[in-house]
Amino acid sequence: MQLKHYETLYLMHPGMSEDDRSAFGGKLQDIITQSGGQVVLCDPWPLQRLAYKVQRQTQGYYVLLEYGAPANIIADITRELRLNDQVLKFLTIKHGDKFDAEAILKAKQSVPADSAAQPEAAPETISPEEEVQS
Amino acid sequence: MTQQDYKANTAVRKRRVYMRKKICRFCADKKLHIDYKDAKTLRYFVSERGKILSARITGVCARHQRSLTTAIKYARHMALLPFTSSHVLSD
Repeated sequence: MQLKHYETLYLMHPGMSEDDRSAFGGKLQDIITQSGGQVVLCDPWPLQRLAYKVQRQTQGYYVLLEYGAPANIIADITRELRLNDQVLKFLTIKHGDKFDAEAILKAKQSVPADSAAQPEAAPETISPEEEVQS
Repeated sequence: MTQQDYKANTAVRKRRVYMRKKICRFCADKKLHIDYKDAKTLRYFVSERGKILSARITGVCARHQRSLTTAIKYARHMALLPFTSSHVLSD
């Protein structure tokens, strides 16, 4: 089946342990790879302050997934994200009908490191030590 | 035409002459991409209240204004940008 280029950003509960977060990320990646898709990028962001409260939480962990997958798999991913109550928010966007993993990786490498380091440089990021108060 | 009207008219015309043409920053720099994840850049295009600024004010061209609005709305949905300043978290 033809792969399409997608991107999913989801927001996880700040109380979640790192193991749980990576386990859930692995689960999503398994869904994609089992259907013949390919994950190009899995980028967990550091703990970040939210712009408004979501389920009474003021901060959370964002995870960005970029992948190629057949269109019918998106429903499975969406269901997985919906069923997990540790996922506060999620958004899936289609980048294009064609998926070329090499071209995407090449384009990412040609972009200088400053855009890649952007999530860390954002002033809203908080170190995990500060989270204890909540 | 009275003297006053004439004066007002010239004032309007003069102001128009000196109006600086704003350039769309996304057209000027092709390397800049509008990305909903880049809240820092998007913040420049919303007011203090969190409302989307008009292209007339920011000087963005129509095509980029369209993608900018969708990007801001995606960012709001993902809690990267506030819907309104009253929801903004205070420390």
